[in-house]
Order: sequence, then C-alpha cells, then structure tokens
Amino acid sequence: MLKADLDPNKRYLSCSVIKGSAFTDFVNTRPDEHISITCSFLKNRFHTKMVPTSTDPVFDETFLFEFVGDNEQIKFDASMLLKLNQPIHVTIIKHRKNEKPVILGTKNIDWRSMLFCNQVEVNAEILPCSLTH
Amino acid sequence: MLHLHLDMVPTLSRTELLLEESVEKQTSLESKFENESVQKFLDYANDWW
Repeated sequence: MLKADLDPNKRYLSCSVIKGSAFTDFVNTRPDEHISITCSFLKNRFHTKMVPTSTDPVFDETFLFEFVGDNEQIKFDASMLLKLNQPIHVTIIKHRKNEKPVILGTKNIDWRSMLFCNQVEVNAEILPCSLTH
Repeated sequence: MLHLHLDMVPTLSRTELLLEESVEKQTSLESKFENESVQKFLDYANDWW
C-alpha cells in the first residue's frame, strides 16, 4: 500500500522487516535454498520476497497493517489500541527447489510499546518450532 | 535474531500518547490473567482425574 492511499481517518501499523542476524542454521548454504518472512496481524498477512539463505539475510521490506474493528467508522485512539491484545505473528520459512516450504520458527511480538513512543525497534529471537510449544 | 522496526501511522500526538506505566500495567495484568486461567484449568483438570 502506498502512503498516498492511506485513509486519514484510519490508523495503521507499519512493520519493517530489516534483516536477520546469527541465523546459525545457514552457516553452510545451498544454492537452491531461500528464506522468507511472513508477518500477520489482525486480518492481514504479508510475505517478504525470498532471499538466498545466509547467516545475515537482508529483507528490507515494509508492510502496512490497518487497525480494523467491527465498526469501520471508528478511528482507534491510543486507549482503545491498548486493549487490543493481538500480537504480530512472525514466521521464518525455508524454501528449497521442488520441496515443500518448511517453517523454521515463529514469534509473537507485542507492538503496544508504540503507544507511548510511536516507534519501536524490535530484536526478536526466533526459536525453532520444536522449542516454542 | 530478526530485526524489525514498528511505526504508528499516523503518529500519535503528544497528547494522545499513553504513559509507559499504563501500557506496562495493562500488559502485565493480561499476562497475570492468562497465567491464572491456565493454572485454574490445570487445578480443575487434576481434580477431575
């Protein structure tokens, strides 16, 4: 979504996926192997482009999530948003040619610290699925 | 480690911004409630068996 398309009566959460670091699974890379990140929040899910695997992959993509409720006319204020207990769900996916994509790890990120400072840098440790459940 | 940057669009004005304490109080209450709910269910399940 372009910034020009934004409805001034609505609120949005901008989520930039900058890069990964210390992805130790990819010390030895394969040429047919790529990774991507998905971010889902409320009713939307976005997917980064696939990048070649490495220990420090760069994604540098920004997604805009709209804060939506049952009533589309409502503009969310900060105190309403504080009660919105819904995390941003981030997933790392590995892709190999002619194979099904594999989920490497997931993380739920609470975004509500933005409500007292407008912007937040998040360094999320993404644990393998086997350790998150 | 995955590095993300989150922004509120449009930004909240000074008067709209909440206090850090209010946000932390809300999230810690939710977390406490969630833990208590799980514990209550475990107690109930153990009693049932």
